[in-house]
Formats: sequence, structure tokens, C-alpha cells
Amino acid sequence: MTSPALSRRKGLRSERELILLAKENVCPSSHADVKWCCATARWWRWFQAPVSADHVEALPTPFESDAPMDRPESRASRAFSYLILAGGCSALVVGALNTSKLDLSAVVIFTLLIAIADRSEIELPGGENVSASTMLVLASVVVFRAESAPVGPMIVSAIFGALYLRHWRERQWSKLAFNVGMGVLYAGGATLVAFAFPATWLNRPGQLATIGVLAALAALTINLSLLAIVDYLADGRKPSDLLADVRPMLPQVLPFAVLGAFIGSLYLNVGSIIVPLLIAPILVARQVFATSLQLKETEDSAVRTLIKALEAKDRYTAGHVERVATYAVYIGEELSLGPSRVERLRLAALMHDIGKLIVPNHLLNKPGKLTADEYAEVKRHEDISIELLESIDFLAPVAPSASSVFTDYKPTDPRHPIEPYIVHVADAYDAMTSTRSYRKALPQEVAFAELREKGGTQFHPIVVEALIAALDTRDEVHGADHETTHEQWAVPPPVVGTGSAGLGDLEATKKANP
Amino acid sequence: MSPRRARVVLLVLLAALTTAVAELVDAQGMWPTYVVLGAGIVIGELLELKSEGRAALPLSFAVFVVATRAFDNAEFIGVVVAAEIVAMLLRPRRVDIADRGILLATRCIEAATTLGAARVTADALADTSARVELLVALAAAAIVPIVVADVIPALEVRRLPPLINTRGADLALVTSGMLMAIGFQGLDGQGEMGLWGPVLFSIPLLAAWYSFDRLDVIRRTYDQTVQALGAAPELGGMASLGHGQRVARLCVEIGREMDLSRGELERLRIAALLHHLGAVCLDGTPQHVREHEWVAVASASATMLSATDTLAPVGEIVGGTVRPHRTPRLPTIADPLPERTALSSQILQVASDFDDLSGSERALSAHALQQMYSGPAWRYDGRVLSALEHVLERRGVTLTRV
Repeated sequence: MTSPALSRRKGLRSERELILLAKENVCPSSHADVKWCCATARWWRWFQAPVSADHVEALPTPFESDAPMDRPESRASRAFSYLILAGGCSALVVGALNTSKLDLSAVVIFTLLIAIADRSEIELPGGENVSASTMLVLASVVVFRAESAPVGPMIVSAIFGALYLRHWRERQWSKLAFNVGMGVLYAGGATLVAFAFPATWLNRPGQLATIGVLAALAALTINLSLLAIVDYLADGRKPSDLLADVRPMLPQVLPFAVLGAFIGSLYLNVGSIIVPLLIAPILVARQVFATSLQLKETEDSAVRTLIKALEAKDRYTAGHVERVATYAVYIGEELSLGPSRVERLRLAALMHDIGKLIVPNHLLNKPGKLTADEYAEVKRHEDISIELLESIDFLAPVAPSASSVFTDYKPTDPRHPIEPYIVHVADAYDAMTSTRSYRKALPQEVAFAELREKGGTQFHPIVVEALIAALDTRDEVHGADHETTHEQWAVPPPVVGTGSAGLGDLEATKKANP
Repeated sequence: MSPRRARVVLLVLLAALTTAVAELVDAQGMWPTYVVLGAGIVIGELLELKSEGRAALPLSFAVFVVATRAFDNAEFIGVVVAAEIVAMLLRPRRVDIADRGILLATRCIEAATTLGAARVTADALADTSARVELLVALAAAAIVPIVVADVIPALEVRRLPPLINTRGADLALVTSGMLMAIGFQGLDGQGEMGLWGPVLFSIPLLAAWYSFDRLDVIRRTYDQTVQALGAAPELGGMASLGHGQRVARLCVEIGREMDLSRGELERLRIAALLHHLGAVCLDGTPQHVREHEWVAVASASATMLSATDTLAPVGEIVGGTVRPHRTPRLPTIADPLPERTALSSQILQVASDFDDLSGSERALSAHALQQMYSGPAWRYDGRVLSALEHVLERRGVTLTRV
């Protein structure tokens, strides 16, 4: 089988797909085969960047998110980046020829402001980051429009694009060239729009807002178009994917654009006194945001302390809650819940068994059936878990996640939050696919079949399908012969049917003690 | 987005829409200014910048600054009082009528001081340049209500708020208020934007509010998570109900008495809430936990906390409670803790033992303290016992010296 035949038959588009397929079909463990496949890919790709075995090792797996800076480049994307730089330089020359006088102090002030604002991003509820840098670029457009100096905003953006120190450190010259060129071009586009209107418009609020909005739209269009092209050339990423990533940020762009235009107007009329007044709340917001991130880390430590406490009590339970949290997050993401809800779901899943802290150790792992009194004592942990979750405001809406009563599917109650159902399905799935002292882990297919069979009665059917889809997307297999944790049992657990894990043979006990 | 934040966004959009309509309908008249700034005060009352250890600062303070420029004295009072009454009516139901009335009165005092500061400063600087006069007057108008907001609760608890820390909210409010006011009427006759100025230049302040709000949610969640963790052994009967909370309160009071820093007090508080978490590892039934097992409990708690970098200092404090203040017969302890950690551990040990001895009953407090004084000298640090005595005296418990 020759490499050209392989490529043609598969109709592959990207080098990464070819390499990953080669890893599977040729010999996953053979370093030499992978290297051969990389060389093959190089013959069949136009403008393909040189690929070494080391580069292959550095490629992220399909199941890891790419850090933008770590995306591999192709020759095409590099060439395009330098082309953009050339375009930007040309625009600078044209702008300079049309500028009679340039206020250098304004250039310095706005460059500093943008540099400060860009490092003062805050995260909004949807998970997207917002910074004031776009707002300040537009402010500079207004300021230099009044002075008829079109080159001003382009210089400011060029310097801002060049300030990304990581590119300098890692000698990513093409990325640096792209940032500088793109900055010049999108500032140039915004400047062209501003110059299309008479300078008198800058003194009227309504018309000033119009200039701001149109200039922002022009800048955004140029920005997104150039990014889409370079992403496509680099690794075949579709423009629609880029648009999906930036869509949440779009609603914030326009208000900030209008604000930027007004800041520019105020700067023109009042002077640089507004600079500290503007920067202070932005810096405060950033500092507070950084503090909240630190506190979030401390909160995570508190939850890890809980897991340590559970581990000290019963190692299975500690691993169990972590796995349930992972599956719950998968389901939440599959169901497109917002970042805040997914975080609440994760915490609720980690803490849903907090009540087990008070269950005597000898009952937690009892291999045989529980007596009625023991069952009642063990079941008390659910009430305690709910009580504790309700005492946390953030988790109170999903406190029923800790109760087997409230997590059973109730199709007639439309107001029932979905999170308890999610935790219930994740809990049941992990219970079936983990080995306990009294039962070996079931195969994943059996667990899926059980969940689907009880979907609509015990489990929420949509949640069940979401879990299955999420695991399939991630190519994860759990259960018998796929367990990641291995306990040494003095007496190997038997292979039996489904049953609740961690609480003894509760199915039989439940029936005996209705 | 949470419903509360969605309401905020809607209110801001409504304010922008009102401004636009007002400008279109009657650009020269005053009623758009009354409506928009009044609405700004109402919205500002519902949004607060919450800093730890201080009273929350409403965003309406920034709108007061704009109002000092927009209105004369009578108009200012009329708009502010009307808006504050509307805001009081819109407060959540859990705030009762009496508290709303107190808040209304407090806010009117703060608004009056804003107006007074602006007018007095402007008069005092009338001979200087118009630019300097205006900027200083605006700064004074922005700063004074914040000072008043700090002083009023300080009079109640007889303790000043921190001078340096947690002033980010003040900075955001002062600078935004000034920016909004300058945007409204310009400077030296230049840059006047009318009502668009305050509406648009409130955006950076709203960004600051969002950050503070998020921090407040995270801080509350963290606090409640720690309390829930600490409550688990109590709900299981392994410690008396509320023991962790009582010990934490007592530790903080003793720590203040002994001039511990804010960071040390916070670590001590967390240590107090979680110091008996290790009881969950005991295999016996709760009511049969024996005296010597509490050392194992503290050690287990310390191990759990020390597993994470962030809570490791807390774990050290809890771990230090298994050591007596001094060892009998030997002059030094092998592997001593750092002095400040040892002091925090002692405070925790004293507070916890005091709560166990007194059973949280006030009548037994004096007896419990007497018992601790009478115990072996190497068990408790005398300075800590003395600080505890001062704390109890403030609570009205007097130790009768034998």
C-alpha cells in the first residue's frame, strides 16, 4: 500500500487527519511508521510546513483543546501572514502620505492605554473574555479623525500588535507579522469609515455614535475575515467554527464601540485628564477579577479537602464522586448548558455524597445485605447531603441532586431542574461501571442498555442519550476491562447484575424495606 | 446569565432607551434629565460594590456626583428623595420596613453631604481656574459620601474599616462619578455630551460592579462550602452542633485582641471551622469518641487540609493543636512550628477546649475559664487565656478570682 494511494482513497483534507489515521492503521506504536506517514503527507500537501517526528508528538490529540498559540502553521499560513504585513505597511505608507501633522503624545497615550486594557481582560457570564482594547482603538480613530491624521490609529494598532511578547520570546515571526499587519488593516478600515463622514459629525452625539458603530463593524469584518483565512490555511479550520467562537462576544462589541467613540470625543475636548478617570475602574475590575480567580482556587481546594476526607473514609467513594463530576460535566456540555450551570453541576456532583462522611465505615463497604436499621442509618446520608447543599446558596437550586427520591425521573413536573437528573444518570453509570467489594464492574454496553431501558421511568431519557453521545464523542470506554483504578481485593468480587454501588445491595434491601 | 444580572442588563438598556427618547422629545427641557438621572439613582441603589469588612457602596453615589452639576439645590433634593423612595419600594421583600426606612434616611444624609461637599468646595476654590475648581469639587462630591458610608456603621461596631485594603471600590466609584459628570456638562465649556455622557461612561463602572459581584458570589460560596464541610461531623453527632461556628467566632475575637493580621485571622477562622473534620475517619459510633481520639482527629484534619497548597497553612494551624504550649520537663519542643502559626494553633486549642468545657452555655463560661487557668501551665499559653478573658468580659462574663 503506497502512501499516495492511501491519501487518494481516504480523500483526506488535512495533515493531522492523515497522521492520526496513520497512527491507527499503520502501527500506532511505531515511531518510524508515523515518521514515514508524515513524509508522505508532505508530498501530497501544498505549502506544507516541514514535519518532524517531534512535531508529530507535539500535535494535540483530537480530544484536547488547542491553545491558539500552539496551532501548527503551514507554509501557506506563513506566506499569508507576511502578505498581510506587506498590506499593512502599504496602508501605513498611504496613511502617512495623507497626514500632515501627527500628535505623537496622543499616539503614546493611546498605545499605553491599549496595552494596559489588553492585559485587563475580564470574563463575562458566557465564558467569553472582554477587554477595553477595541474600545480604545476606536477612541483613537475619533481623535485622529479630528486631526485629519489617518496614520495615527494605524500606528497605535501596529505597536499594540507588536507588543505580544510571547511571539518575540518564541520567535514566532510570522504570527507577529500577522498581528501587526492585521492591526494596521483593521484600524485602517475603521479610519476609512470615520473619514467618510464630515468632521462636524464628531460633535453631535447621535452622529458620533453612528460613526462608532460603523467603524467597529468595518474593523470587525476585516479582523474576522483575516483570522478566518489564516486559520483555514493553517489547519483547515472552517470559518463557521471561528464565527461560532466569536459570536458570544459580538453583543459586547457595539456598546464598547459607541463608548470608544465618545471617549475619543471627550479626549479631544477635555484633554488627557480623562485618561486616569477611565483607566481606574478598568484596572479595579481587573484586580477584583484576579482576586476572584484566586478565591475560586481556594474554593476548589476546599472541595478537594472534601474528596480527601471521603478518601480517608472510603477510597471508592472519593474516586466515585470525581468520576460522577466528570460525567456530569460531559452531559452538561453535551446539552449546551452555560458555563455557570456546568460549574454548578460539577460542584453539586462532587458534593452529592458529602453526607457519606457521617456513615460508619463498616457499613459503607459491607459486602452483604444491610439490615433494616443499617439501611436507615445509611440512607440518612442523603438527607444530610441535601441539607448541606441547601446551605450553599450557589448549590441550593440543585440540592435535590443528592437525593434518590428527587432524582427519579418525573415527566409530569416541567419545573423540575435538570441537574439532579444529570447527577443521577452519571451516578448510576459510574456505579455500574466500577468494581465494588460485592460486584465486579459491568461492561459499558450493559450499562448503556440498562440506562436506556430505564429511560423515561427512572432516568431522564434525554440525559441518558447525552451521556452516551458525550462518551462516544470522546471515545471513552469504561466498565469491565476498562477500569482506570484497580483495587486489590482479598476476595475477588463476583460478577452479578446491576445494583447500587457504595451502599450495599440496596435494591434487594429496598424491596425488603419499602 | 443569572436572572439578577439579566435584570441589570435590561435596566441599563432601558436607561439608554429612555435617554434616547427623552433627547428626541424634549432635548432642551429639564424633565429628561430628571427622569434619566432619577432612573440612574434607582438602578444605582439596586447595584452595590461589596467589599469584605465594609458596608456595601451603591453605584448611585456616582450618579449623585452628576446630579450636583445637573441640578440646583432644590432640584437635587427633590430628585434624590423621590428616586430613593422608589428604590426603597423596589428592594427585595426580605428587607423589612424598618430597615428600609433606616436605609432611606442614611442615603439621604449621604446625598446631602455630597451636595454640601460639591457646593462648599466650589465656593472655596472660586478664585482658582474653572478647571481646577470643577475637578476638585467633583472629587470632593465623590469622596464624601463614601467616607460617611464608612463612618456610620463604624460608630455602631466601634471599629474603623481597613484604611488601605478594599479601597478598589472607592477608586472605581470616585473616578467613574467624575467621568460621568464631566461627560454630562464638559469641562471649560467643551465636551458636553448631555445625558449620553453619564449613560455611556457608566459602562466601566458596571464592569467593576460585575467583577465585585462575581467576587462576592465566589466568596459566599467558598464560605458556605467550608461551613458545610465543618458541619458534617456535627450533623453526624461527632461534635456538638454549632461547635465549629462558635469556635470560629471566638478565635476571631481572640485573634483581634492579640492583633493578628487579616490574613492570619482568616486562616484561623477556616482552621476553626474545619478542625474536627478528621472525626469522620473514626470507625466507632460518635458518642463513644474517646478523649485521646481527638488528637487523632486533629491529625487527620491537618492531613486532609495539607493535601492542597492553598489550605496547607490552615492544616498547619490545625496540626499544631495536638501539641501543648510547652512540653513538661524538656526546655524545647523538637521541630517547633513558626511562632505565628504556633500562636494561631494555641488560640484554636483554647477556643475549642473552652467551647467543649462551657458547652456553649454562658452560665458555665466563667467556670470553664477558671478550669483552664487552673490546669497545667504547659498546656495553654497564658497570653491567649488572658485575651480570652478580655473577650468574655466584653460579653459580660466576669471571672471571679479565687
